[in-house]
Amino acid sequence: MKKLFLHIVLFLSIVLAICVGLDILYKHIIPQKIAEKAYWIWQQKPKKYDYIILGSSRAESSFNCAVFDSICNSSGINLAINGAGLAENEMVLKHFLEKNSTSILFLELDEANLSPQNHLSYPFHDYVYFPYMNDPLIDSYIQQYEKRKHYYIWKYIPFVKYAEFNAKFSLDKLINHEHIDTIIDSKGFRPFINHQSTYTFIDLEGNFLDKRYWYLADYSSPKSQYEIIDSLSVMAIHNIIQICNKNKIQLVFYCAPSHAGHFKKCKYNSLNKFDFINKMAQKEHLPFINFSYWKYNQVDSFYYDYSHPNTNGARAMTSIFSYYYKNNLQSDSTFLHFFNDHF
Amino acid sequence: MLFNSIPFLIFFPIVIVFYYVLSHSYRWVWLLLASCFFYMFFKPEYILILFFTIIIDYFAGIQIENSKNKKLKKYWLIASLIANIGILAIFKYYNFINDNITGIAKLAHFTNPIPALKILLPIGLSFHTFQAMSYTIEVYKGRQLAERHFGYYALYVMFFPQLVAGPIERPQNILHQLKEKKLFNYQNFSDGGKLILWGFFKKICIADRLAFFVNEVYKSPADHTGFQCLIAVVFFSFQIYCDFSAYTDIAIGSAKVMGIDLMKNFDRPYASTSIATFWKRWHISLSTWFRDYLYIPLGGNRKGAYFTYLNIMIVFLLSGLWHGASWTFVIWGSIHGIAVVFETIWLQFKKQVLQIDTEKKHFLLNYINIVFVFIVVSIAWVFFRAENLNTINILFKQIKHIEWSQFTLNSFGAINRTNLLLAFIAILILEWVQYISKEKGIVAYITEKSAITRWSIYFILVFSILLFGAFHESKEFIYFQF
Repeated sequence: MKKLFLHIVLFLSIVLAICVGLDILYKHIIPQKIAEKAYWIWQQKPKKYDYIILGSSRAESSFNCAVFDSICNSSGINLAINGAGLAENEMVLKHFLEKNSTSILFLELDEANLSPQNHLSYPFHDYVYFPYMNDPLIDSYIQQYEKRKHYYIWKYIPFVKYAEFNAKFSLDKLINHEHIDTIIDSKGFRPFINHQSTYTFIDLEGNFLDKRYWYLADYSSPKSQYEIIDSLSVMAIHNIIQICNKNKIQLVFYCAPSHAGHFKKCKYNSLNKFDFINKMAQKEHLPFINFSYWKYNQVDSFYYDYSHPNTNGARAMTSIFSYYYKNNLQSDSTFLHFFNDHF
Repeated sequence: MLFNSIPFLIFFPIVIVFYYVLSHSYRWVWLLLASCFFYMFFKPEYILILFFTIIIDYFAGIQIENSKNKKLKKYWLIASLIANIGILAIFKYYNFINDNITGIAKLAHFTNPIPALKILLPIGLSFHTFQAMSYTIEVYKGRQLAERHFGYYALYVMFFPQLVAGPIERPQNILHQLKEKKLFNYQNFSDGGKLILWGFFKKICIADRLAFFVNEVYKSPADHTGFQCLIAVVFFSFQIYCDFSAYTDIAIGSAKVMGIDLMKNFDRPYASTSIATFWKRWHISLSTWFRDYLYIPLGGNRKGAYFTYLNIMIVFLLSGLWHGASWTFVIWGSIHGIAVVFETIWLQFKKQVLQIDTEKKHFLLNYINIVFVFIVVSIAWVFFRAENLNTINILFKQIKHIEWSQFTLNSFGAINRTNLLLAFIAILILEWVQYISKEKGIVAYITEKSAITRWSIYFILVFSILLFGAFHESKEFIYFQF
């Protein structure tokens, strides 16, 4: 029995020691080697900006800050993250405001990030932030939102969190690392070039032309599903509004463009969500700029896929957005009137 | 509770510590409680089904032994079998039969008035039902005394390491072991631990990694090239082997830590030179169950060639149905049945007509046979894995139109090249380990090595699991559904 006990203790001690070493190693090398927008954001030097963008990939790939800055003579940064839900946006905003400042926040809202358990990371990419788990802000968010209830294991058992997500932090990714600069530009805009390799649109009748979009089946679920607005997302929006009020930041809601076919497919879901955003914007006296109905929503050459504009689409959207902002919003610093224009 | 889960990593050490701390007379209570907790972790209410069959079989066993009258013995056996098969029929086959009735009724322009049942299949139902049946049959045959202690009998059916996916034990092997006083033994601990670790490696590093590709292709074969479909077919053969044999290794290892020896369930099945041999090496506890309780009672090979072939087909068709209530499983069983029948005929032909000594085989012929058996078994696995006949049809069509230009490792749906290479490396490691340990088995092979080598192997396995394990795909063991 004594021999077994000694062997178990020795074995576990060695495993633990190696895990502690790997945990420290991974904590330091992951933000350097893995091309994640979150690490780029966390590594930005403190600065004062005129505006920031928050949202998912639809905001990340549609809002070209360079275009906006040249038209409106301002300085902004796109902090939207591919796959991010609203809780993640809220966390990024809080982190950003710890060392930076801004006057305006453009928050991208649509049917995807307001639908319950949507295909975006729900409620946020917890694993991405593992290297920063010592940061009280991130720690509190992971603890609050971790639906897998693994928080304590992740926090107190070394290396297990990286092992659980070893597909995301695989050795080959750590060795042959991709530079974040190849994905985003210096202002955080992520251009999508041309069309997706498996490019197929939903046609104008709303039929999927490629089975790969099976996950969109969520949108064709029973009508009652459309009526549900995700409570965690609503909570995150309210928190973002509070943060903006506290920091005197003007909040502007906007919805990035979708292809007409997609919009048709998700019509009931989208209309219900837009109705919700409109009501919330009216109540809070916030502008809502909706690009769902813009005039280019049937121009295939403007889209990377059904819900992401490509570089052409992003340039067009940002230009329209910029002139609209310049002509209607920039002159009125109080923003007390409500906008819901169709482009 | 899944073996490959955090709860099991907490549950198992607690069970073991109390098992050895408690006096022998209370151990059965502890193990029974632990087994109930283990099973109820999945879906608590299904334990009632388990207790229903346990109570019926417990009393049936005693009544069979007590009855002086042969007829009465038979009635009690039949009652026990009806209870067990009845449970299986309701939970596993009712909807399948009903669906078929609906289909036939539709053809005849009738509506089937029998409603479908909205029930979930209790985990491991086929396993513990067959283990329970083997008890009453053995008591009836007089090869096993009826167990008078209800707790020990319940533990025989519910012993947690083999409760949900076997091995399907015989009462002669396990009942007496549960009653024996087990003293702490370092070697049992060490051997069991090695087997558990190897099982975890096979499940998490190999089976679940291969599942990435297999699931991707079987989800929509039309979206994949012939080469990718072919890879998925081959990978599934290894996935199901690693998945099931890993479960068995962890089960045998866990029991071994408690000083209990479970029966061997796998013996390098893909090294078989015939389909018949494959079934002597694959899921041995089920094959021997069908052999002892179905094939031999049907007459085996004692009633002439035609009845032998018929009996083989019956066994394999039922074996297919044992796995799942679907025509794909029936076809899977039939493929194996037909292959074994052909082999039997071919052997007879070689022996009697060609006068060839079938025992002596050139080593090259052995390898050709191994490849041939692997191909047949892999084709049959397609029917086992696919959800419907349409998927099978598309998959084979894609493979039929395979082109040289498709032989590339560069893209496999959403999975990158590194993952594919890792999957191939994992298979090579499996084959290499199985080859070098084929004489003695993995445990004895490791035990014979020096302390440094042994400990290095342990650390390599642990850190391979941590660094290369697939933790987010196909966590459940495939055979749980049966």
